[in-house]
Amino acid sequence: MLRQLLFIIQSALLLLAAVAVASPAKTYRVRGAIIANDVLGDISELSTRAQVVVNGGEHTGFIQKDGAFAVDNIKLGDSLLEVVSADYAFPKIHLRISLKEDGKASIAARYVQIGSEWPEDAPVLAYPLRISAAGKYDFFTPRQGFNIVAMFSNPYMMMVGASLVAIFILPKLQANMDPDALKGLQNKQK
Amino acid sequence: MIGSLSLKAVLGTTLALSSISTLVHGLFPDEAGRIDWYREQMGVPKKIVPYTGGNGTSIFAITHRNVLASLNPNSGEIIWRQVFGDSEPINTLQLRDDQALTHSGANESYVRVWDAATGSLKWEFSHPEAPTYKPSSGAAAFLDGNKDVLAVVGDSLVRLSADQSKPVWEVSLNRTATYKRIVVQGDVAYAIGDATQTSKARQQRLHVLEVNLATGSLAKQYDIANGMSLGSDNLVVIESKEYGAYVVWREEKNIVWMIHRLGMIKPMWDIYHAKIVQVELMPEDMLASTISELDLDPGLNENVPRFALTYTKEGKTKTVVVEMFRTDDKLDMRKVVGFRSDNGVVASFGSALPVNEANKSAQKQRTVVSVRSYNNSVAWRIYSDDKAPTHTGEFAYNPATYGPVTGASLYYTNNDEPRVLVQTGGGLLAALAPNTDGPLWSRDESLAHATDMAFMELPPPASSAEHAAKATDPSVVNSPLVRYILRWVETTKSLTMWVSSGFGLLDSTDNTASSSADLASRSVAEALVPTSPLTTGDHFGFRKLSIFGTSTGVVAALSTQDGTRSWTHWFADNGTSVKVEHIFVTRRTQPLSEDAALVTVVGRNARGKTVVADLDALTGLPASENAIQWLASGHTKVFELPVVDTATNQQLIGIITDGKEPQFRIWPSTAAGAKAFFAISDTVFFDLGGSKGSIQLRGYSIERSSELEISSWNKDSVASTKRQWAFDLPEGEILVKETEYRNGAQNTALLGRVLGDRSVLYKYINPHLVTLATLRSEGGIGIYFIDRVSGRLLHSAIHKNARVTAKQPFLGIQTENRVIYQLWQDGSFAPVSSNSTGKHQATTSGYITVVAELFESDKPDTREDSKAFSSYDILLPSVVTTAFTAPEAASALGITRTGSHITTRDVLFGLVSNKLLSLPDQLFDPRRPKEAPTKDEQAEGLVPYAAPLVLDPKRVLSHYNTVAGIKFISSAPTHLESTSLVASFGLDMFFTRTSPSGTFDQLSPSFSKVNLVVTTLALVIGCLLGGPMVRRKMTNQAWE
Repeated sequence: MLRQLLFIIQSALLLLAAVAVASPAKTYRVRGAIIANDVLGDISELSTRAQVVVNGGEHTGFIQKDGAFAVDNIKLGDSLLEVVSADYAFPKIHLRISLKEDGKASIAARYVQIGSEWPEDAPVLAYPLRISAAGKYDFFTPRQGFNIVAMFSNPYMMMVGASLVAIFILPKLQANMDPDALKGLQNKQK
Repeated sequence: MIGSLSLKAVLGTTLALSSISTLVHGLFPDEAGRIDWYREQMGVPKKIVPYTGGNGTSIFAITHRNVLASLNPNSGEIIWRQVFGDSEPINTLQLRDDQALTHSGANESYVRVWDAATGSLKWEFSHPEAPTYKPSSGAAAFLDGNKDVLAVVGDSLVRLSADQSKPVWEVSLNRTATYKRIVVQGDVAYAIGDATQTSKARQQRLHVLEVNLATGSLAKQYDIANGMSLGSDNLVVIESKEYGAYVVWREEKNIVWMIHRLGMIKPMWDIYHAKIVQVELMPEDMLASTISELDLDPGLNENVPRFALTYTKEGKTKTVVVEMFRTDDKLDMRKVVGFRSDNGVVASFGSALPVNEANKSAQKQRTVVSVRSYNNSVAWRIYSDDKAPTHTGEFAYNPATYGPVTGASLYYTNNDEPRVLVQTGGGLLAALAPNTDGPLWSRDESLAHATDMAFMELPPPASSAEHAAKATDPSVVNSPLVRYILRWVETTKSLTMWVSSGFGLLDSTDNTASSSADLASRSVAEALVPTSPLTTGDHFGFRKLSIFGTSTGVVAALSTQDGTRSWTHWFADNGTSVKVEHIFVTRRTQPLSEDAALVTVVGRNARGKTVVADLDALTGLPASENAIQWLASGHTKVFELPVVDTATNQQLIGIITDGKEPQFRIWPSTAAGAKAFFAISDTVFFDLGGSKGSIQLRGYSIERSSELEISSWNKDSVASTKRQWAFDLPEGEILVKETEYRNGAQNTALLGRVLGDRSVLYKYINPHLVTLATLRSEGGIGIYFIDRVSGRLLHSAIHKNARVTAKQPFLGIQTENRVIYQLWQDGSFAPVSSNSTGKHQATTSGYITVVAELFESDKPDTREDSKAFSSYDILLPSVVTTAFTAPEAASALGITRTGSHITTRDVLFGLVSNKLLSLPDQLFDPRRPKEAPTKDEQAEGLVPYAAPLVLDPKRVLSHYNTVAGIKFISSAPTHLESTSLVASFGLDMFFTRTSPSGTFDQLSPSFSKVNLVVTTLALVIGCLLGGPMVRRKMTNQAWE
């Protein structure tokens, strides 16, 4: 009986030791693909101009011609996955790799905004990940051409306009005034 | 500290950006490529493989900057490249069937197969970090006939199938050797490595492993070549399909070459020198001979294996190419071709097979190229047999610019025209062709290894009238009145020229034509020797020299305006590159001064000895006979001293060298320099122990030398130093990074900040402020602000969830009274802020940018009541801190600089997405109100706080350019207060100019001078026409 108990304890200890040794070394591969959309129709050009970065550079993945990528050596727990590209913006993704009861790892990926809460209630994305570009960066401000409205909305132009009105239109108005009223006004000024 | 992304925060950011964006606009499309320039680089090649595939010939390279690149063989332009991580060196490159195979990584191993035409990844296999086994082994090779790959990853030999990218089989290597080579021969493969030394008594040797390719079963393993290692000068591995694979070596103190066929444990075969080179040699000459491999991909050899043997006889060095041949059942060696490589010149050789199919079948002869650099030229010859060379060429090249030729390879164009690719010690890559004078193209890859850079102001262009006057009588120009008159003469001349050129209209069309020139091709097709070095700047100070120091020994001066090279100088010690570490401009060009501008270069040779040199900043030549001096030991710190040697008008440099106690040297080491220095030596302090891994920072002052010592000061003189204080880091903490002020970042135009109620918060600006970032053993990062003079701790902070690793670096910068740093923070369930109500919140992982602003007091209108700033007496600063979430991981931080610092300073980020981002100063204000702003705060113009720093594409200075691997961001003022020059470099280079507060001192680019002239003319015409009409009207009125 005692021997049996000892054996159980021993095997339990062994099992624990095995888990303790194996778990820190165990890392995971996260797979996904960049999917074409209206913003980015041709994925192939991305393969030499973008990379997938986890935890700000801790792990990096290259992108294949069809947009597929894999990032290796990711540990259990929370990570941040970003697609970095010089000309396209991509959504950032929060990865949570956890062990299920049967010892298998499961991954929950959610869209996230930097500096915000981990959105526990946000919908979990399908795995392997499918990411598409959120937008193309527009780096330039178009030069403003000649614009008549803008020209006349300039305060200086408005002042010039007002002076022109005072010079040309006011005397005409004065001429059309009733002579008596004019006299009254002139008297008032005196 | 970092709140959730609430609606308020978003609104705040939008408001902030909109209020700031009214100040500054983004780039106009026509400015791209006109105010900036970009150079795409790859780094100094480790291995170059010209490869002819389905799409013709391309050149493939793996580099010391961990880049895999494909180059256009006709122009040298990069067709595509893949940038690997900083800690992921690429070990192997092999090309087969339009696929490139790489093996990379130091601790982790990655095997990747790339599409050779497009550069996109086809498949990859990775092996996680093996903490117990880091033998730096790693090799990979394609198998014959299919697309599978055999690779050494971690401690295993694996066969990877292209379809599944999973191991077909795996063999444990049991730490038997550091495997670096795989040879595939039919059904079996051999992994060769340097055998692991189990006990000290055992000699170094090679370990060979034979595996069956189909099953992965280990056929045999054995040791060969006692005392040898892979990569040694006396050992080669050669192979061919017909003859099999061999290891050839000569043991030390042995004159016999041993030849071993892989897979045969016995017998081993030996051969004497005479049989190989067909010349009788004296034993001592045989002992000095070396052998090298010739074929870039020996696995492709159809017929005979070859190698090259270099020996010296009667003082003459000769290289012979040897091939194996078989008569009946006996193998032997014979000479194919021999060429002289004497007079101390470097002989390099490569081998290639002509491309064309017709030729291939007619002549299976491989060709060999020999390149010799001597005096001021490089000569090359291509041989196909031991007769006259088939092609020869020579081009003028000065080795003082990029060093001697150290490597050569040969390739053929699609028309079977031979091309020779030479590589120099300084990092130049040049393609040579028959019947052309200069190189076909060249790439200067030294700049991808830049370590420091300094801006050098150029004198404004003197008017030609001034030049003419100076030529006849230099003293005339000294009179301000004469200069004033001469300037007017010149202005009148240019006005007439402008009018005759059609009011500059023709000029402007010329400008647009030049700006549309392809930038990439310009950066590649650069002339090796510039025709006219840059000696004058422009009126606005946009054109300066940017002088780079590189770890390949090259010091190069480039124009900031377009990147054209002005000069280059290669520093070497006995033919090996000196690692240049610091560049200082120590004498600027002074108007009316005959003294040449100087740049002082500090470098280190392979043995750690320091060299200091003064170069003429306009020509790159040593300034005088004693301009280059070697110090007796290596340096630990180098800094500019705040004093100028009045005799030579040269700024002094302080060099701390190793010794029992740190020793202080002055450069230039002259009596006049020493006298000038000791006049101010009381104010000079420095600290040591600021390197990574240190646990103590020590502060020193400099002891005054005796008058006699000062008056006889020479290059061997040193001043002793005295330790003033020591700052021990708390137990369990080690230093990660020390940050200090750089390039005058402590200068300011305003002593304080004026608050909304007109009171003033005085800035705490201490030029001796040092920021330390430490790694805590219990996790997290510690931050310490230290005063370098007194060693006092001014402020400290802890970031509990932060992490700094090689791949997640700490970046810091000090500017005026602010310290800005960026670090990675793991997502946490920590309280939002220190005064939170206990509510816990989970925040995402990400980089945070922390800003600490130092004030003399937290009370307005309160400041230290003394005329001089004393590190010992002043009260501790009041520190206001705020954190923001960074838009992305950054690899470098910088700030803009302007002449008087009236313009606000933008904070510059080199981002991992290969952009240079500039964010306005206002966003980094730690006093941004977190609640609704009060009236005073509104009056002060504070923008409401929002945690995220947003990546606004309009603020990306590098716009559509992919500026990869930014490691340094530097800035210099121009003559316009609004505008500063910005340079970013590391791998790629990008230079631009920016106006953080708008171009308030320039006419807007949309301002039309033509419109102004036309309007004025119209008014004049209006007056001329209207005048008589009005006069007539008045006369008529008078008559009425």
